[in-house]
Amino acid sequence: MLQDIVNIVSGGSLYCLITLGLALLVGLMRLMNFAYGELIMVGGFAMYLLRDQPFVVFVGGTVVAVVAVSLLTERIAFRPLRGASPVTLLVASLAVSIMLQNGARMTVGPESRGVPPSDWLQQGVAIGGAQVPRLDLVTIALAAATLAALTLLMRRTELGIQLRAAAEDFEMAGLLGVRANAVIASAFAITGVLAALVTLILIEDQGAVTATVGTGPVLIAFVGVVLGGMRSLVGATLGGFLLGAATTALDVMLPNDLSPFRDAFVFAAVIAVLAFRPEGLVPGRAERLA
Amino acid sequence: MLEIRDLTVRYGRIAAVQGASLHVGEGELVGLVGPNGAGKSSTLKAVAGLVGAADGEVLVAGEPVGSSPIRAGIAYVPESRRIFGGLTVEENLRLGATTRGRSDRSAELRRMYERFPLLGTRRRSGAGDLSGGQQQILAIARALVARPRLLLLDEPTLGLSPAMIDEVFGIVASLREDGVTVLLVEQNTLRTLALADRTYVMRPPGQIVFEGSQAELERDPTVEQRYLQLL
Repeated sequence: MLQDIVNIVSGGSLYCLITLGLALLVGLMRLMNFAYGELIMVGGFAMYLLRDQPFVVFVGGTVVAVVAVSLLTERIAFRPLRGASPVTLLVASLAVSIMLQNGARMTVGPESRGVPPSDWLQQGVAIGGAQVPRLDLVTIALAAATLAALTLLMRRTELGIQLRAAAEDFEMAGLLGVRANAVIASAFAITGVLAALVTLILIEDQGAVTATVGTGPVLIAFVGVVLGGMRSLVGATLGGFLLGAATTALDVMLPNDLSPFRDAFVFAAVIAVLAFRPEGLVPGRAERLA
Repeated sequence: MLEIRDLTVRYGRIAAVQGASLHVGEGELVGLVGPNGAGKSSTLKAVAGLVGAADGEVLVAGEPVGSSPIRAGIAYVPESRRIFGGLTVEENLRLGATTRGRSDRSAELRRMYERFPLLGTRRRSGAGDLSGGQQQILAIARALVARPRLLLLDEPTLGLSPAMIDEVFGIVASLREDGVTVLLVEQNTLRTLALADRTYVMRPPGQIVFEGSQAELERDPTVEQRYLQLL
């Protein structure tokens, strides 16, 4: 029972991190970034290339690689489209996603690459008579620490206040002297860090990376953002967590003959929630983004 | 301080401002009045850099404004206030002080709380929870923490109660005593004329038809008959 609860909370925590990375750019610049999935892919391949390096280099190198690619996509693809409609940005992000995916296929290769899991993380920890996977506990701790750090950043720092102001009224923030390029680049860097953390957990769990490894997570993030509310980071956190917790809970609870229909149950529940709350669980304030 | 020469502003093929020229001297409080659609707000927006000039030029202290008006010393309080409702009062003020040095910011905030005690007592409140008049005071304070050389106020009394209109005009009057240069766009013509050192009258489509003080206007009954009775 305890093992199941930890498993469900861990699933919710991972989806929560996945959703947050996407939600930041949705709130700030109405960018539903399809290429977010490819940031996870870049992280996965960085983990593959750095698999024999010491732990600090392995983790640090992965984070740096993902943040660098995230910043590059902003500079090359999204900055020239600043102020374009959300649909234009969505299509551009799809193009970036396809380019990155094919770039990986042409360079690292199309086949799956193994990243050996850490023995330490794969071991179980005895809690109250139950064996709980250490990776689940680390996932929960990492998500909690990330949420706390993000809350502190958004509430207590000048950058956080500028990010929140720019998400509410980008033009007015600019009139007060907030530098648009710096704020948006910072948001892409934060998104990169979140994508890197997701990658480290995901690839550690799966033990391999392919060019399409980010496709599943980016769809989860889309649904989590819509479920939670497009205008609220709190909503995205909640939406992602509930989505992940429900998915994992069904994994645990569904009888074998129904388990192939897990996603059908989850998405039926999402549609039911949206039917009653079309703006998501946390609608947020009306915004006026340029 | 501010020199607008033959300014033309277009939205597509429609000219909102046509060849308007005006100037605001150092420390002056200048009014810009006229009916709806006269081009007053578009003139301010051109100075604030929100719309481009199709023709003419805008100079502040003899220099073009550039891409960041606030860094050129121009603060703009827009018609709809545009405070950040999801942020606290203090966070709104901190944003206003973005261009100040880190050490200056706390001092500027303290100065604002002394000047507007209401903002001090509600510093941790959500700005969106303030009344319309309180939000207007916050919008003016947010502009003042940047210590601008020129303050642009776009219809600061729009939609406010009579008591709050008195308070906002009182604040604008006190700005002149502080030596802040102000360009005030208002629909409340009589109070603007009474308050401002000089007033420009605009009429559609964006032409200035009179410039002078209240006394000069009263000596020119044709302007009053032609334009102001329409306001």
